[in-house]
Amino acid sequence: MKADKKTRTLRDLVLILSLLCIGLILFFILRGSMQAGTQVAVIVDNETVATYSLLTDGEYPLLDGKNLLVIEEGAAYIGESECPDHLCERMGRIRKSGARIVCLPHHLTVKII
Amino acid sequence: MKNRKRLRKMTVLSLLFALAMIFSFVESRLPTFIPIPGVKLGLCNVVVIFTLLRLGAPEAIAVSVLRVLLSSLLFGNMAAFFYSLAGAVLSLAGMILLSKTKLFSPVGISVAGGVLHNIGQILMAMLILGTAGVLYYLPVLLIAGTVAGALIGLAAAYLTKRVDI
Repeated sequence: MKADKKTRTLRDLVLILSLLCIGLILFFILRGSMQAGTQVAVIVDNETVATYSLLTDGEYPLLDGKNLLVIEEGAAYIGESECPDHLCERMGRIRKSGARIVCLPHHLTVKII
Repeated sequence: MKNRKRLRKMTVLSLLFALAMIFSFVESRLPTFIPIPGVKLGLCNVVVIFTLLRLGAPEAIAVSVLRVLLSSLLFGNMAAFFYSLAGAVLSLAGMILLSKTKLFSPVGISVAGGVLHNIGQILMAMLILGTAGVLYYLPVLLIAGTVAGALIGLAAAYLTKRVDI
């Protein structure tokens, strides 16, 4: 019984470590493939509704003002959102291609291309 | 005698369900410390794992699915319901299978549950948003699910060992 408990704990550790490794490897592959982007695309329900240049600073209301996209010094972020969780506001600035901010409640994705 | 047993089981299940609802509420009040949709501690899973290990799979399914339904109605919205349900169903299926094999301790079962919960939510987000783009969050959600699952699993293991029902 005791040995059984030990092997189970060992299996747990193997499971935890392999999942962490897979996560980390995927994370670094994703990061490694990203380069500085020049444009930001606004995607609603899988359709690109607008693209803006990352090179010019500006503020753009999205979805009739429900989200505010801010472009500043080559980075994009969501300045304000009417969604319930406000997670998109806290996702920070994105500047590399492939990076994205998702606002699930509004079906909105802001992506660097 | 048989009636008494049934009554007892019903009472225990109701208590566990109530406890899961309280955890749901507490969790909905906690600030999210990693700003990525779907990252959370999963406190309710303590109750679900306890139910699964002490009472059985059908009871765990009942507690989990009812919890998702009622907490979405009370503390969330309909969109949250679909994400939670996808996560809960996948996570439950995985945890039930793993507990049957007896290969892992509650910690391993909980880790699998946490990770599968996040995968279920990503799949649902892919379905709702119609894009594979949300896979961008998969690496972070894998790591978050593993860490949260391990912590919750430790709590569930302790409870399953100590608490008598």
